Amino acid sequence: MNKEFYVIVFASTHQAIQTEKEMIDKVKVQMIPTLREISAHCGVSLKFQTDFLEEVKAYLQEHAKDGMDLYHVEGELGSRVVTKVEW
Amino acid sequence: MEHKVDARGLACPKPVIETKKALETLKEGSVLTIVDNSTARENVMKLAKKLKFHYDVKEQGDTFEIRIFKGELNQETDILAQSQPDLQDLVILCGNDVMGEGSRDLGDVLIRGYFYTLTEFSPKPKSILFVNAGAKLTIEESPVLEHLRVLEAQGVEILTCGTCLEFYGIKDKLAVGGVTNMYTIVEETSNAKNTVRI
Repeated sequence: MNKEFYVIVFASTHQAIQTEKEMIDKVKVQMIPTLREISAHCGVSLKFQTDFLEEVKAYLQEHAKDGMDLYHVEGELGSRVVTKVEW
Repeated sequence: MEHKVDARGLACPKPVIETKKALETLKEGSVLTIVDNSTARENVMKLAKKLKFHYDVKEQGDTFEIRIFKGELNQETDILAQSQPDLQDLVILCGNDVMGEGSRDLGDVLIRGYFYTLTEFSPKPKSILFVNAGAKLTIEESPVLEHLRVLEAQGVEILTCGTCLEFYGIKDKLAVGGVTNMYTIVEETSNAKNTVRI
């Protein structure tokens, strides 16, 4: 299930809620708890599938705030590989 | 021997109660319950499933006939239970469309996170019961609909209180799982080893 996807992580929960509101019409995002592998951020992240990577990168280039990061996630619970992605 | 229960016109959860009573008085044989609406039909079917009895359903115009055979299928259902080792004897009772008290915005974030994580976590609960505003989580507009569908596909029983759906005027919007009543809710929560309320 969802073996490969991306997550945007945030400095605060408010930032995550605001970003979801701004993106929801353009990108199919899902709010999920921040993965244990990515600990140095707030508790919630926005998950999206690879199909939306370009739209998300474009959004981040224009609207990204301090503390927001993008990660590529591959694998299943317990054996995930998480890689930071630049935009 | 067949015992007949004419439950037409009886309000929920009466058809289930009457059927259960009839099954209890019967040593062997079948109980034929006649109901006049699909919710009652579903609830009687669920009773049969729960008691691990074989049943069949006939639609006769505006009525439904559910025939439950007592004392059969136990072996088959045991095999079914063994084939689902990922389920644990835990029932989750969800009484709100957000998680916790305080900010609704935060509660919305938390409830989405909760059900998402549940899809990844194993073993799963046996069933999740939605009552009061929790009923808003099983309808078309629910922010956790996708997660609940995944859980259902993983073998978790998703049940929503029919009275609650009716109260909020969203009965025709139910998009995942089945409709249940207080009789089943009490039974599920009483019979499970653990019940968690969120």
